[in-house]
Amino acid sequence: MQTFIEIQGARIHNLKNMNVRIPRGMLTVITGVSGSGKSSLAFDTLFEEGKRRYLMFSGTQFMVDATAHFDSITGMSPTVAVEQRIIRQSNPRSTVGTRTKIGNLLAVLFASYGHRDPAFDDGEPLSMEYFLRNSPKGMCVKCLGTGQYHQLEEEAIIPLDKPIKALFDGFIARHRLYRSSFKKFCELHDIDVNDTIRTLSDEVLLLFKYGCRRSGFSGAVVIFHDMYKHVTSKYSRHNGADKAVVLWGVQADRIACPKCSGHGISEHAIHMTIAGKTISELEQLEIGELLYILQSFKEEMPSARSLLNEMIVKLSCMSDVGLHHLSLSRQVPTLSGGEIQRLFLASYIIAEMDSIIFIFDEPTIGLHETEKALLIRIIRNLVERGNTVVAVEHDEQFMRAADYIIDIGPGAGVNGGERIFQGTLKQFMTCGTSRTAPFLSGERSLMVKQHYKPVDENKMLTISNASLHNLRDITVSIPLGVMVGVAGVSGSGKSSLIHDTLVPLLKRQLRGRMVYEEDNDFIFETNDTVISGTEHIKRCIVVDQRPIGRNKTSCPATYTGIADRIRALLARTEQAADSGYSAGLFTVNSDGGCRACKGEGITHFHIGFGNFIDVKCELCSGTGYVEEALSIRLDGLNVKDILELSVSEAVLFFGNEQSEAYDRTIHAILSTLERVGLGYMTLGQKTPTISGGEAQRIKLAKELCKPNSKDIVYILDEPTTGLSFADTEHLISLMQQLVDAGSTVIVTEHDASVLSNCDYLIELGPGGGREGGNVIATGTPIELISHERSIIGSYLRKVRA
Amino acid sequence: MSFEWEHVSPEAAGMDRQVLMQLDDYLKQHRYRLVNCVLVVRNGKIVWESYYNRYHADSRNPIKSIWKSIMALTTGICLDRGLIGSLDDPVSLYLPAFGRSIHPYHKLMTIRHLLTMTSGIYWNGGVHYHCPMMTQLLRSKDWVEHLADVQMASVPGMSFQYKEFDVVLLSAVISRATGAPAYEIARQYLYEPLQIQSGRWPESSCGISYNVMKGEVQSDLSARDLAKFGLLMHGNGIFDGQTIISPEFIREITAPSNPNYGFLWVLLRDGYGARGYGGQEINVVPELDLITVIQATPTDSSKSYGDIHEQLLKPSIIS
Repeated sequence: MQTFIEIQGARIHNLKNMNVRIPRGMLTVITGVSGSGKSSLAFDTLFEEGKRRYLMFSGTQFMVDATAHFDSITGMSPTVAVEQRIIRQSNPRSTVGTRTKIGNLLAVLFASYGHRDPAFDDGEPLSMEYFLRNSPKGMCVKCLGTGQYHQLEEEAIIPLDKPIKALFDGFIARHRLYRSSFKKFCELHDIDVNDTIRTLSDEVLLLFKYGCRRSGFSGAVVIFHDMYKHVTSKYSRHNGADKAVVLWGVQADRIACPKCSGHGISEHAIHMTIAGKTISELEQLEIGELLYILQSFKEEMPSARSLLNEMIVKLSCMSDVGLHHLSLSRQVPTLSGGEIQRLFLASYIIAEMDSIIFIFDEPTIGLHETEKALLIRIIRNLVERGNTVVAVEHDEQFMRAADYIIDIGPGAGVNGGERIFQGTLKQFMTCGTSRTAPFLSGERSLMVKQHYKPVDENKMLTISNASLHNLRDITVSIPLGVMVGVAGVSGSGKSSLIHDTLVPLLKRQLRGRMVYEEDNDFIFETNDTVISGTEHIKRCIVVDQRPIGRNKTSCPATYTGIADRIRALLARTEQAADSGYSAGLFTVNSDGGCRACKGEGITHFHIGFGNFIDVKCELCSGTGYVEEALSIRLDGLNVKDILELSVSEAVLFFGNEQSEAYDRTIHAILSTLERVGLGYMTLGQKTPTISGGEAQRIKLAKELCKPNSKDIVYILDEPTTGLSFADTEHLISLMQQLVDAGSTVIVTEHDASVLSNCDYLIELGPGGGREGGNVIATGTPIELISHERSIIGSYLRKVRA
Repeated sequence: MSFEWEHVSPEAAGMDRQVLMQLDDYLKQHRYRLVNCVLVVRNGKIVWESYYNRYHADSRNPIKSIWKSIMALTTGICLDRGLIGSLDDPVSLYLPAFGRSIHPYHKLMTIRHLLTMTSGIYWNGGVHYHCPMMTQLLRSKDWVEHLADVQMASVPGMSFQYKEFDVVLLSAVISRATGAPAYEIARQYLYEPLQIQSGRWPESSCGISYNVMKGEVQSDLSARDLAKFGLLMHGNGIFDGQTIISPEFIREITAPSNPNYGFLWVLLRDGYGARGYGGQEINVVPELDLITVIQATPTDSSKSYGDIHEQLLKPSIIS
């Protein structure tokens, strides 16, 4: 067996005929600045080829592959990719038990070996589905398997003395889903919304409560029930399941479902026990305890031994990766990012494979420093079992744990794609050409703020009595005009505080002065939570990681608005004017799109078994544009060429005052994109290929282009995600500029170097979920270092050292 | 006086014999091996009947959900005889469990909602309509109590959802209104006058008639007996000169409650019909005075043979 995986002549995307060696059976980190070609090497070359060879070999798939993007790869094994953003899990029915399939094993155990309460024995056996709360056969029909029930009194929902328009604080007349049908309903029945509900006739009241077919109005009680369901499910996804939900002043305590006493399964299944325990009792035990009990079952039930052993192996493995504190009934959406990633990892370890190539995409994203150490240990464990692990990673702690480093660069996009270094960490430290090495060797370090901008006690934004999700009725003061970092382990309540409490409240108070593209206009019931200090805020800009645009053809050019200007420039050329072409010709969404492929440039062919192959469109030869559109050139480039320029190239192209392509606005926008570290990105890069971090920086750049003024609040969510040291440094200085200009930057962040550059920190914790939700420390980074309860403090100390 | 089917040649009935003779080849070509019977009635007379798999004119085949359509007729009989006051009677009037405010929507539920599959009760039909939610119901001691506990998915009358629960409740309402399982009404006032051969419908320990459960074979019917329901419907409730159900109710059965559904009968482009799992069909095309019946052996993968009626039987009509 070869000791290295050798890739010769890799040339996909920006890779420049790269030759690399990756040692088998070791932990290799591929690093480099964003856009340098790390993912192109790890995922688009190594993983794709590994997958292709394996599938071809096993004959399960028909592959008609295009040209290879490399000369040769030797030393391959089957590859598994653990991609980024497995973190967002939202199905509340998904639990640790269902995800690991241990729930199914337990159900089989009960179906085969359970003891039936004679009072509930109808002589027929119970199948395994009877023990699964997600199966329509087994679920309790009243709570549909959730185990919980809300008793809502109709009199409380519809108080007869309330004016109609004031019901639910005016929600019905305001919400976009209901307002038009409600208006129609009122017109149809001649209702004055200023009257009280009592004035409605019995007949109309019934329609008002339960819906009116003629106007399409869904009915107030129905709307209430639907919203209530929505809010409670949101709560339960955020660790707030134990709290009573209050919606528009109506409170309903969450009670155990009266039919199944909270078990979530039918009464037949509830009365089946093993050693006196029901299946849901076992599911609620922590994994550590469950393991102990299953061990004891082995003595009592020798015939079930193999089934028990299978469960014990799986559970021990989960315990090994540090998940012993979870129960099988724990809902996956309530797990922290770190826990979910470890859950996935556990399933790989359970598989007990060796000689596999695992490829990870920034596995430390979203992890607190303490969680990183645990993750590294698990990944090393995979290596020790004889697997090869390749990780695309920027994190320092992770790189230090690697056996082998590959650095790609030196720059991004066309300036990258070369192998700068391959070898051990020790050798890497002395590598002179790498931009990352100096940071690792300590030769260079990220700047650390020495002088904090003083906090002005009179200019504070205060959130009082925040109790959403797992927040423990906390009051937080955020100083304005400085850089504020919100820290805490995953699940500690950072997002609940900033994105789910502060942002909606700001939106309500600032209205038009709030810049936030968001489709969910329902605001959490925040009766007791109030904010003060908004009078100091001129505008608030939320820059999140959601994709830019919703359209397949969205790209940085369209999002920042320069696409329109480029089209106008093209339409203004002499040639275009002579031919009578308008700006609409230069977009694939309008006249300019190829008729055959609708502007995609490729056509999809179904080749059976749900597989498609993409073939270059014959009509437009893959350009996506009609010929007329491509015939018009601006300073030698047509629209397609322009969109293929990288931001850095385009800065030069549009910045030359002598050229007919000169445009000051475009130049300014592009320069800002370059400043936020996106110089490598092409103007026409499609939305799906843009990472969350990149999307956030595009949005930030768009805001930065606007005429600068003070008293703006910028809210950012982990802005350094996926950034190399050099890029992080860049971004920090950009944020500092905003603060220097008199604005406020609020960042939720794990990265200690970013936090070290804040003027003021708010740390939530101490743990995640139920263990979180409190403010454990506030102050300057220096103050947190010496703060006894602060967890991030010790990491801040390391950054300063 | 007993009812006797009359036979007529395709020519005399204005149908193309050549087309009808292709039926065997058509079934072979489409590999419809499970089809047991195809019956064509025009102007009240049998024009064509083909039997397969050793079936014959007296063989009885599972009726599956055609039972639901029969339940609609049974409800009409109860209404005509004053056993049920009105279709807009709340269900709670007959089934007190639905008047206990277990769920606030319960009190809005009427018999009409049960007939139109709009009760709003939560339902999951499962893959191939295997009805996983029925298993718990069938094992429960009191079916009505169990159904009153099932979660409500929508306000009664607001959304259509084909399900077993509604017709089980309808059966329970009839039991309570008449003091006997729905079968008794059907037997006395429907099956006897129509001279239909059937055993007693299976029933729950709490006295509710239902079809798809242990003992189902008893309610099997022959193709000719199914065709009688077509005649009854086409004759506006009159069968062989005798009024069985009031014409007003028959009209309501086929009046659309939603574009494709009346009272437990499906509405077709040019008529109406009854459907059962696995390819059981009664089709009535009033304008052509045509009734067709198809019966087949049900299997786990729900099959249907609607094309036989549409592609072969209907086109065989000349005049």
